[in-house]
Amino acid sequence: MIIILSLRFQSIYEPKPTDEMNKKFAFGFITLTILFACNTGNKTGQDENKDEILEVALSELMENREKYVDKSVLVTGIIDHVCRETGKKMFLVDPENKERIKITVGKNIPTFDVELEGSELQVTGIFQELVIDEDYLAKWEEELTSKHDTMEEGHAQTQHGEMADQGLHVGDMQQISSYRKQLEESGKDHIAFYSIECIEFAKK
Amino acid sequence: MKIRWRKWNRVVHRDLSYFFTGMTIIYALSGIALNHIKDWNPNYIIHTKEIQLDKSYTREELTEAAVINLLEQLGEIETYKKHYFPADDQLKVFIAGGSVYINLKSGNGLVEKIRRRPLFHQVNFLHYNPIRWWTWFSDIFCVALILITITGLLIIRGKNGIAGRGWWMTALGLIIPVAALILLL
Repeated sequence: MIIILSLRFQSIYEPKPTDEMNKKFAFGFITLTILFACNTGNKTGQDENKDEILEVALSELMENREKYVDKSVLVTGIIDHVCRETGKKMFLVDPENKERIKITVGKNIPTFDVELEGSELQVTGIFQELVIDEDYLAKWEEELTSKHDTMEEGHAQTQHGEMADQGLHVGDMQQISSYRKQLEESGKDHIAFYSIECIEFAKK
Repeated sequence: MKIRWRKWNRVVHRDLSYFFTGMTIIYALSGIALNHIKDWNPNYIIHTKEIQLDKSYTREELTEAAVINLLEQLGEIETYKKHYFPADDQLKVFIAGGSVYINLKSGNGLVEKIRRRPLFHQVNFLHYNPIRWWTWFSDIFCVALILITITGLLIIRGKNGIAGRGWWMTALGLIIPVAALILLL
């Protein structure tokens, strides 16, 4: 259809019979574009991860975190907050026991829409652990310094900050000092946070 | 046979420019929006309003009907979606196009209304590569931009062409990115 329209367009505006070059170019270009589009269907990583999806309550997931790390899980809850700045993360809560987990976009989900807030969702994804230790915080600080542009409050601006962000709407420096304090108070060499990288979600 | 490369050059430049006009505007607009993401929210227009309830409430009092009644007092009629208690003294109500937060002890609260920012929400959505074929299409667009630039350099002949004024203008335009690399990298 597009090809026919394009050729028709060419013939209307450039009716010279000898000028076949334009037609050939337009034809070739549009055909290539369509072929690319058709050959790059949505063959995603979804199917690979669909094996052995563990349907689990959020409370069970958070109580036995280590057991589920790197596994495919399906959890249900209410979407409490969607990141307004990037839409790349949202937070799912279980209203009964106040458990809350960060959901991040997977490779086939560009952003989450704010309209999801208040919806009861079934989220399928990979349960992930983020370990924050002194080494992580040092790399984070280094990344922040290399940006030549620090933001003290409002929102994390670095990759390390985005990964570590738990929806508190504080800047990188504030987060780093908060995690450093938590590390000291824990008496351990690391603290861990958990999230789900979303493969797909559906309204319940 | 003599290849009429200048004519091909013009054809490629002209048709790719026509074809990718929309894409150029989409990526330029979303580029501006994302450059200033710290200063404004390109995706949503958010309005907040502080509220003060006339009395404090307990969690037990706030059944669904009571929450709906509370919303009606705040002028939110038929907007109720769901509610829950993040803590015993906190209520969060999800309403159509926003949410309401209330501290049950103090009666202080906040109504947040949120709606998509026209045009920018849509172009940003596309900028974030919503689906795999779009990524391919935007890759093609990027290659086409390079072609448009190179063919553009070669269109004009003479003293204003790439051998004259064009060369100096191109070099001038490269100074800022090169300086940024030297100073910042």
